[in-house]
Amino acid sequence: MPLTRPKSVLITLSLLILFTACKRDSANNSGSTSLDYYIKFTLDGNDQL
Amino acid sequence: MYNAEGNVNANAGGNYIFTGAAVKVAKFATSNNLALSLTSVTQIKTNITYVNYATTTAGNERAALATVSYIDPSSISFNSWGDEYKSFGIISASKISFSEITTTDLKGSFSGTSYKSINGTAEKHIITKGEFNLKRR
Repeated sequence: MPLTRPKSVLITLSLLILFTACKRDSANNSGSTSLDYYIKFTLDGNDQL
Repeated sequence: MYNAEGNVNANAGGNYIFTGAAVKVAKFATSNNLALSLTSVTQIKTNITYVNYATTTAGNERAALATVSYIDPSSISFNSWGDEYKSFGIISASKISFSEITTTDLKGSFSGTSYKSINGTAEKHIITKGEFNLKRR
């Protein structure tokens, strides 16, 4: 009997790849040189990110 | 914040300069912008807190300039001023320090009180718990 992957696994993998690609594209389009670089502070007690 | 970049120890006329900035909206620098400026007569090092007021505290050093600048969402600019302007009633409270200076990254902390104009009664913002990790340019 041939080994077949359930459709749900393929769909999950596809969504994961799509999500990763979109996330990377979003970071590139933002102009951010890297998500690791940042300035954060509080302004009058309110967090600013 | 985006575009978090800076440089340090650029030498201009014997002064050592650090500048760093980031914006909240990518590539849009005219609002929600935080900028740090530091000028020292000696090379800028880690583990020293550079301030914009006279100090005798161990580990602190009075910088020629230590400025925390903030541009609010309405593009109004707020700046901190050294204690040479204390006759105007302002509070000089800028602190900038580095925990790591490498060829690629600048990490550290900051705080300050920034005013809309050089006047103690002017609108101001108190900036605390500042942290930065900047891509070195």
